[in-house]
Amino acid sequence: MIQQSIDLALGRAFAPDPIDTSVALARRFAKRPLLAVTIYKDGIEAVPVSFSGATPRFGEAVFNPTGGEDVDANFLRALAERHKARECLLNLSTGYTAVLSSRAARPENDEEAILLMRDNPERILGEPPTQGCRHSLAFHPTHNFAVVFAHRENEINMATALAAKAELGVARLHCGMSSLLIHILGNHWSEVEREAELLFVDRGSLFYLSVAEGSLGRPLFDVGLKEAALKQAIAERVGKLKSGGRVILVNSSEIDIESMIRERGTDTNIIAPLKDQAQPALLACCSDRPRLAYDLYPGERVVRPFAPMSLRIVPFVLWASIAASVAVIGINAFRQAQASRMANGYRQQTEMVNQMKKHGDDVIHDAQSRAENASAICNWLLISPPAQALLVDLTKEIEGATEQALRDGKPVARVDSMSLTRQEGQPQMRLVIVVLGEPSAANRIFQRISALFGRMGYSTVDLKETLVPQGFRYEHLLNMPKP
Amino acid sequence: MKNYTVPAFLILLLSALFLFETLQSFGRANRANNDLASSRDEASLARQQLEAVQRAAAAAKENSAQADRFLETWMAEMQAESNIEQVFGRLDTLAVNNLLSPSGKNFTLNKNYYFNGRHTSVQNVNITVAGDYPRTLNWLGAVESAFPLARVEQISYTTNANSLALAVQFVFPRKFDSE
Repeated sequence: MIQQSIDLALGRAFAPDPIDTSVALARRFAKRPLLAVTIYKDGIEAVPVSFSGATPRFGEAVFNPTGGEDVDANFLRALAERHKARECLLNLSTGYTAVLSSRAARPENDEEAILLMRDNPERILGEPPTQGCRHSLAFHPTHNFAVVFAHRENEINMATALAAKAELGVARLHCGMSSLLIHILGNHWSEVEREAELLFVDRGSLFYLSVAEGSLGRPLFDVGLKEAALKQAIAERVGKLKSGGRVILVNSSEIDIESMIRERGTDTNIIAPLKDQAQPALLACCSDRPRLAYDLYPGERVVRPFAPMSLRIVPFVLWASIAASVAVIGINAFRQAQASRMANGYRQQTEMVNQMKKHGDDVIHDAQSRAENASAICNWLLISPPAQALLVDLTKEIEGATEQALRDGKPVARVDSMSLTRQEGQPQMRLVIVVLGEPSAANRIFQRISALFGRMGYSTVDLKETLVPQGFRYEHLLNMPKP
Repeated sequence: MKNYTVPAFLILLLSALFLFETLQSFGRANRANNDLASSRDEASLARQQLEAVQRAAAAAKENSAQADRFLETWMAEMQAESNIEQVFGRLDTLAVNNLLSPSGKNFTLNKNYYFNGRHTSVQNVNITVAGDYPRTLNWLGAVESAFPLARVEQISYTTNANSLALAVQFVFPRKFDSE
């Protein structure tokens, strides 16, 4: 799951596994080199393959005579390293038999064909598979006839062992003649018209099949022939071709078969659809999509699942979101850091300003406090005028009243006691004076004192006159003069 | 397709998380910007307030110059009058200088003297002197001159057969600022 997620995220999931036989070779090796290896009886031939779209392009073929498995493996390994290939296509030119079958069942689709041929070949073949063989099928395009190729497993195993020894993965393993037949039936059926004979020849084998609009003939084949034997076999086969018929010829050998046919002078129509191809069997192997157990080596390896293109949006969304997130988060983080730095600056500024403000407030408070103190002292002094001057004035008035009474021959009075009490913290005072004597004399003194207070600006709040033994008690509550 | 359904879902979920985080980053940046705007406003307001306070402080300083000079004089006086021993000694000296005989004297601390709309701490000093009336007046004048902050709260003259007694209560302020 995690690996698949990573593959999907990295886009690897959309590139098919090079050994995933369910995917066309052209797609698997669109950007990878492939080494095509044809195994003959007397040696192996290796050709580098690259793909341009769905079309395979073959490089220079290199033939290596059989020298044992190690020698062959070293040869392949060296060639693969030179071409930087890690996978190979194995094309078997020997080790097969071919029979006509009318019991083979055409599968619904390619996937089903591959799965059935791997797990239950009897369903497709219509009969139990031959012991020790694997099969491939070439169906008649319109009728339910098929040529069933049976490939010996030991040859298949030898071929795959060779690839494994050369450290190459097997991208496809098939029989060249089988592929060629499938390719011709699938792509050049229009050349057959009513009836034709197919003649496929490579450097060591020959395959012949008579085909018609509604039937297939018995396949004939010779494999693992040396040049002379091949030439003889071709001559025999050419000699048996129908006069005036159509021959679809695919020849990759050195022998000029067309000339041999023309030499017969039987007006045979020769059609060579893959005449310009140096490697017609490999072209057929590389061009066709995997179908009908096309691959003789299917499903035996663990391949990485292949994600459909409909999921292509998923990694795009992921990387786009990552890119957008990185960019936006980065920008926002920068903005945030910038804003935080500036905000901190403003906060420090505010703190400093607040401290200065507090200092200013302290100054104001101090000034107010001092002003209040000064005002309080001022008020204190205002409500605390010197008492001596008042007493002197009172004394003068009392003396004046006494002297006046003596001059006028009137009775005099005597001050017995006098007290002056200021109200606590108030601009008020209470004068209590006890005068002994005649009422008129006492009243005269008190009248002069009252007049004095009036002149000085005192205002009377309350005045009480009470009798005491031999005299009078005057209690005078006064408001002090306002400044 | 089936092989990649769950991984595709996981990757889309991861993408959604990235996008969510991206949205979150916008939120954080906006909060930081709001914080910045708020801090800027606070700083601006604080500066304005400071300017106002500085103007007020300068005005207060200028206006309090007269009060400061006034206080400078009277606070020293208040400090001097706060020592009760010295006050008693001075009262005695002045009484003797004026040929009066000081009889009883005492002092009490009154913390609840009501003045200027609040309770103030004052020192009540009671003293009685006996002698001639004019000398008592002179003594009183001398005391008021020596202790200009002392408030004569109460004066009481009483006469006996042979002498005159003057009982005076002075009030000395201890401090004027509020507690």
